[in-house]
Amino acid sequence: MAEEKKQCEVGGSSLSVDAMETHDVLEGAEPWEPIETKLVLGSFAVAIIVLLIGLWFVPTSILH
Amino acid sequence: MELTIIHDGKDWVAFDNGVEFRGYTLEELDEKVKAYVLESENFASQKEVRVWMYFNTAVIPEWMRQYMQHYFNRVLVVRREH
Amino acid sequence: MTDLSNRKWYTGMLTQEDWWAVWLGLGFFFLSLLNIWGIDLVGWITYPTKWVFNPPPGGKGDISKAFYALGAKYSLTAKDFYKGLGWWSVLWTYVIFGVATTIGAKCMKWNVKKFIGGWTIIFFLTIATWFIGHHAFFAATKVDWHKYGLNFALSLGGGASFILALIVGLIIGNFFKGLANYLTEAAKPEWYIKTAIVYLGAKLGYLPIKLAGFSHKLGNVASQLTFDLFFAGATATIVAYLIFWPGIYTISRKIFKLPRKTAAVLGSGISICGVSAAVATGGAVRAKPVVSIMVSALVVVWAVIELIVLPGFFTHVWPGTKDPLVGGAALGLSVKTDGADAAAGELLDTFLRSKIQTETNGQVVWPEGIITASAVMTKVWIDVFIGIWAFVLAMIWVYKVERRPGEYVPPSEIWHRFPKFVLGYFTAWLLLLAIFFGPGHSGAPEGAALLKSIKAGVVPVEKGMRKLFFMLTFISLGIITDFKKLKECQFGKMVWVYFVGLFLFIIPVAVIVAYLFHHGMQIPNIAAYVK
Repeated sequence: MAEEKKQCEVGGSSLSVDAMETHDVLEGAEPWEPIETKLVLGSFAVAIIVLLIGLWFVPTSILH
Repeated sequence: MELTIIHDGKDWVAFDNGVEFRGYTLEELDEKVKAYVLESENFASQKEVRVWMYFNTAVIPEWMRQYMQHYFNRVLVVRREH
Repeated sequence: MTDLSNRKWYTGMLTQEDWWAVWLGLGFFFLSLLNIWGIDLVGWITYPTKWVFNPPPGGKGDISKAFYALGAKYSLTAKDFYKGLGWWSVLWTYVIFGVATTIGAKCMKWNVKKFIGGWTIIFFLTIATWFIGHHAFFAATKVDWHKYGLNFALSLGGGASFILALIVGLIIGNFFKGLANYLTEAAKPEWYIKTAIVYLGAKLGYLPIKLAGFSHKLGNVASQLTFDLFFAGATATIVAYLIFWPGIYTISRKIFKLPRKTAAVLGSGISICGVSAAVATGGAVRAKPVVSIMVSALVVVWAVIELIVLPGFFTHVWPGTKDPLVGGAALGLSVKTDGADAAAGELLDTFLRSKIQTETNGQVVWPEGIITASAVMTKVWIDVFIGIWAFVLAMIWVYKVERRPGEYVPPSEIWHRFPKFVLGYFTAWLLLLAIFFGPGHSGAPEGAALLKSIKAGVVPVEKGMRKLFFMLTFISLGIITDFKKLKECQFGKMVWVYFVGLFLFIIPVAVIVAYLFHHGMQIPNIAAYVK
């Protein structure tokens, strides 16, 4: 059974940090790509828009 | 088609009764799933096959599951060219 | 390996902690509402009171009354019965919640034998620390010292018990690892706090009812305040999160040169919602689970460090009693994990209430729980928001960053990542609010009788059960927190990203955003109505 086989492979339970390859998690950073700039700036932009709307509408904001 | 997907510490593994696919990256895994679907007679009549992969959260350590009980489900859409 | 994949929308209703928090929370909440028909089935819940070894003549603090059933004070129909329970209420609470949580553990397929063992030890440790923490030397506030025959006390209020519970937990977690390991089956801080948050929803709904008992006007002030917290919390959360995440992402990528997926997971983990976000984001960007696991191991430790440092800082340095809800909301935005945040909120609540009372010599008294509610409100919004953010990230990652051909992100992901305990929290709050404004006539005399029966039921829930589950959370948090984790070399770089990100970026931004939306919010003064 495939189900049983899986059990042996992952030791019958969940993963643990000690049992895993961790080097490629911390090393080997990819070069920064334009999409990341877009994502970061986009997120900041939405934050500012929500901030302005929020300051305007939320009755407890410092504008009131 | 529906598969259960897990990560065994090294590879992504997607499986169901009798079939199993492995890949170091998801791309590798997807290639194998696609190849299987396109060759399998079960899906010969279908133009488009949606392969659901449900992550088995049992892989996540038990102490962590109380915080978030869902890793991901993904769908791979396999289309026949002709 | 058991199959814990989420295949249908209702998957997990019996197998996930998240849902079990709803069942435990709403179960006892609905039970309490039977009081409307005169049936009191919740008054057995045990509650501590301050005590001393030698109470002064005519004073307070008899040790035989250190624990009592809340029904002895609040029940309308079974007061005498609950009065008779006294210390036995501890046992009643142990058995009833033991059975309820064990049913949960059984459904979640945990090791039931180990759970019962762990539950028993954790429960009685909780009671012991609760008892010690309520010695008047720790807990009595200045105005009350003389009642216990004391000339000096630490004036920590209920906070003493919480600190003690955390210390006991940390000692077990760090020095008695064998025992800690045995207790893990029942040391579930997140499950306990989610349950407590459902009870907190009841508290939020009960607040107007309680204050309406003092004066009609105060009741309406309180209901308005809860709405204000609701909206301010929602906006502050979205703003803060959308600043936090890209900030940490950029710091991890540009300064610490981490790979994209690790940076994304760290961004969420450090940002606000800790472990739940680390798992959700890890799944969203299709990172190997190990990334989430590593980040989570760090998150829990750092969250406890914040829990130790921040409430004291917000009480004694800034914003103190001037802007209590800024402090509360800032906790919600900066302390990772629901457990540590709610715990920190509760500490801040007790510290600040004790401080304002001392500062004004008893002229100002704040109702308890509002500061806790402000810390939890931002947190609840974050927990809801992370599901949506993870969905957005998943689409960006799958369609743009990695561009995997043929992959499609199903919208059902939002529901699977939705924190279900929030449903319990809002249900309890809104239901009580509806009763208050509907048949309760906003606290006008026509509704008084109904509101009184609601009070008899809800107080044991919002006060007794909530505090008990807070205590369980404090102890369990300590038990699962192993400070040695920070030293493990494989985490090296991440520990530093975390440190820099948290103290130089997250906490300052959290305080600013909390200030922008909560500055000037006032907690009603109830000094004139309490003895």
